[in-house]
Amino acid sequence: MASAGSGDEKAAAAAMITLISSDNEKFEVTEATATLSQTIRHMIEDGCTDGGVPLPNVTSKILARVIEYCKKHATAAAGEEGSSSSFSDAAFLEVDRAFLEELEEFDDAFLEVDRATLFDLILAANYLDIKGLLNLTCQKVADSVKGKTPEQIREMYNIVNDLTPEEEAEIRRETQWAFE
Amino acid sequence: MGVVTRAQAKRTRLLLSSLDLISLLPDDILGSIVYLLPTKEGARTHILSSRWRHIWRSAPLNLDTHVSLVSHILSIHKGPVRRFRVLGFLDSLDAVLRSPALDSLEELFLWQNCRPPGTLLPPSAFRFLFTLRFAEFGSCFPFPGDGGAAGHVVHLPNLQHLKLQSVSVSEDALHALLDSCPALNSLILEDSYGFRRLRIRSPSLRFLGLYCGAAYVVKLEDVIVENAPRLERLIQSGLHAARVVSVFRSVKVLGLSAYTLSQHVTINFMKCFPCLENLHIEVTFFILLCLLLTIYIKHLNHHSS
Repeated sequence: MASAGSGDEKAAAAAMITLISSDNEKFEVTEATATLSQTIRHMIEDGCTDGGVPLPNVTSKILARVIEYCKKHATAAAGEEGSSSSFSDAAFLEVDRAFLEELEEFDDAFLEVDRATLFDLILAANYLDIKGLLNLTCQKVADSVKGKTPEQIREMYNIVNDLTPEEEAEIRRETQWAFE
Repeated sequence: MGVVTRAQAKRTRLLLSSLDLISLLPDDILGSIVYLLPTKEGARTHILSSRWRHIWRSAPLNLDTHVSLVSHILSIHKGPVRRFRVLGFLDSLDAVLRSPALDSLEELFLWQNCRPPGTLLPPSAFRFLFTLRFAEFGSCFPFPGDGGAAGHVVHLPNLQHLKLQSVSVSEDALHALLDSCPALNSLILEDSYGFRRLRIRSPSLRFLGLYCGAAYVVKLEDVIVENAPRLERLIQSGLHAARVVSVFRSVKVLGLSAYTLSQHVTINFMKCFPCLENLHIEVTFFILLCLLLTIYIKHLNHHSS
């Protein structure tokens, strides 16, 4: 917990956690990186991380990407915390700003993945409860359908329209304003 | 061996790209995606297929629409309203804002430009104090007077962005409001009036925008920054008369826009920003024309002499 004493915080920063993917690959990460996931944070708080944390819903390929995201953003979070304690010092702002820009560039590059990977990242972010990653990936999907007609969205994502013409007419009638 | 693996991988990729993977996502994730769309586009997703038919209705609602549709949408949508942005005067605003669907509202934009004279901001607009992250009040109300909203002690612990446009607010009420926003990141005051002095005390503020077009009876005269160590961007437009009574050591980007730009005022103003890196000055077309004419005349004189 961030509010713990500074001695505890130092010990926590040095502690390593082992994450085990569904295909049994082990990843060693710092506690600061791992606790970006609320799911893992709760496991650590409950003392259930000895011998590694099994993540049966996440493959090694996706877990590696998720860890990459968490490492980058854990550094950012540490920077934010550190800055609040010395906010009279103008120098940190420069670091702060440059880092935020770098973080944005990282996020953009991070999202350059195929659709199947993007959905796997969404599912992993949801399962591991990593709010920032979930928002980022959902926004990417939302941006991809923004401004498109239902027909275009169906075509883009291979969605088969299984509604009967009667059902479709009913939906259009109920929410006519949305189609005007 | 490697070629076979690559071919297999290619086949898998082709197969995956032809599947309807998006519809396999859980309801709450599809709901989060739909929430990120404009209101009409979000509502249109329930015609995609039977899988999508009930997603929009129970997803968090982004209600950004004309007043005439507000009641209808709220009557058919069953999920929580997370964002409420309404343009125009809504007769039943107080009742709408009291709706339980708005209990966990995070973003509130009220833009009541056609209100009848004397209409006040309903007290219900202040019932989202603990959940609000973004708030904009435009063209609307005399803001609640001293002592905060309808006499309550205001505390907005999560508010990150506040904009007041064409809002009449007293100096004390404005400062009480600002003091109650410990997480405020961005503050925009546009054509708002009723305060001569703006005092900023915010350890979190990064952006301050002060825009003033028309002449009001009570104009902003002094901008006093007592404590704003994170302030990075200051945009000031049309406020050539306002004195800045502080030194902004952290401000790196400064934007100035004015109808008239006096050299004396500008230089005095600039002295307040010793650490500036970027300066943007915007002047009106008329001033630009005068400037170009001066340069042109000087150019002609240079050639004729």
